Amino acid sequence: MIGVYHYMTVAAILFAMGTYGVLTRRNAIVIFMCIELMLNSVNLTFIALSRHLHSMDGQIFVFFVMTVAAAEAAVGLALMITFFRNRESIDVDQINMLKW
Amino acid sequence: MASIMFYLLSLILLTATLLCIFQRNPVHAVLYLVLGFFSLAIMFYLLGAPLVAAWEVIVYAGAIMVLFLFIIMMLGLAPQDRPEGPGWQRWLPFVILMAAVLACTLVIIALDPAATAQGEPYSLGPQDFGEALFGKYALAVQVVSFQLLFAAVGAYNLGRIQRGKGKP
Amino acid sequence: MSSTTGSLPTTAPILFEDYLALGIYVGIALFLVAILLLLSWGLGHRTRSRIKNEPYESGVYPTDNARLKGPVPFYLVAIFFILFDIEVIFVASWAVAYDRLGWAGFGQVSFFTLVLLVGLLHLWKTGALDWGPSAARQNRKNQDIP
Repeated sequence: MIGVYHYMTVAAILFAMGTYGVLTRRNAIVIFMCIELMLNSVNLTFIALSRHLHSMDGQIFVFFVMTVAAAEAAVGLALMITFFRNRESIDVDQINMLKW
Repeated sequence: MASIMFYLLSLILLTATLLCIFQRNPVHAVLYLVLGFFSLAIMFYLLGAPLVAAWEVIVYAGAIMVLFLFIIMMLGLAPQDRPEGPGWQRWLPFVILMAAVLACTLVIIALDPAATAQGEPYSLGPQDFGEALFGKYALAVQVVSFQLLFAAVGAYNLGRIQRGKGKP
Repeated sequence: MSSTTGSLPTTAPILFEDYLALGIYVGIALFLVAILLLLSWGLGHRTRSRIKNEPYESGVYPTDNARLKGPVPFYLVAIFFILFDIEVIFVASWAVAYDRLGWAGFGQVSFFTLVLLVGLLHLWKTGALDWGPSAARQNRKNQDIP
């Protein structure tokens, strides 16, 4: 039968894929998507453990993770648009100045 | 039945994710990620979290990913070129990372005798969920409201067109 | 949390009937999509040639790259949409359990909505929701005041 560790293995692989994407891609928006992927693998862990431990805290926390992800996406994409307006590119290799 | 669905969904999820992170075209990457989120939502449903599954589809797949797609199309990003260097430099870190993760999880499963114990089924209905969210976690919800407020104001201040800079 | 684990009211586990309902639903959806695709594929008139596949058949010649980078003035509205979408999921989670939460829950959700309403009013007043001609007017007015 399928136990909690099966789900956690899937979540771990998902997290590793997200990490690899963050480390190797240069397009800032794709890096952002990989961060969303990592957040979702954590969500899967929370929900699997919430079922395993018979506690609703995991599901509630997934809610807050989703909220943080949405706020992060909003602010991050606004940052990316501003950066693109100045540099005509969102390659992370070119984000090397702290002050304009 | 449940195990077949689990393996099918994991297969779809991991394949879609793999295609997403190795896709050169960002638009295709977003679409594969949406597919992955759909299978993740069905997984949440099977784990007894129907409300979270619904919000996963509505918020992640329906809103956040569409915003990503919108921004990608607005900035007109071209597909990226292949990076230079030999092929193993791109594959080796991925293989090592996956091997380490798999080894760790397999060791944990092997060490724990209760790894595949099913336990009694547990499911949380929408009403219980809402009751807990606004009862026990009411303060956290208020903090979230302030977080959303700050995110809105911050996004506006970052993304607005400043005076003298005409370009969108 | 030991206080929540024992006393939690749980609904029934997922049974075969639920799978059946989901399966029927998926089946109907797939069937509908397949029928629509097959009908349009089978009934449609097909001619393929280089001229037929042009975007503007017997009209304007396509000249440039299809990837245009156009200004999208309402991207800020799209970003705000996400934040207020999140507000919807909280309010809906309250709404499904409104009778159990009573007036205390109503107070919580009212405060939650009020905070975001303040944010919306601030964005409205500062002109974040304007785009197009009204935003240009706003910009000009700002430039007059040094």
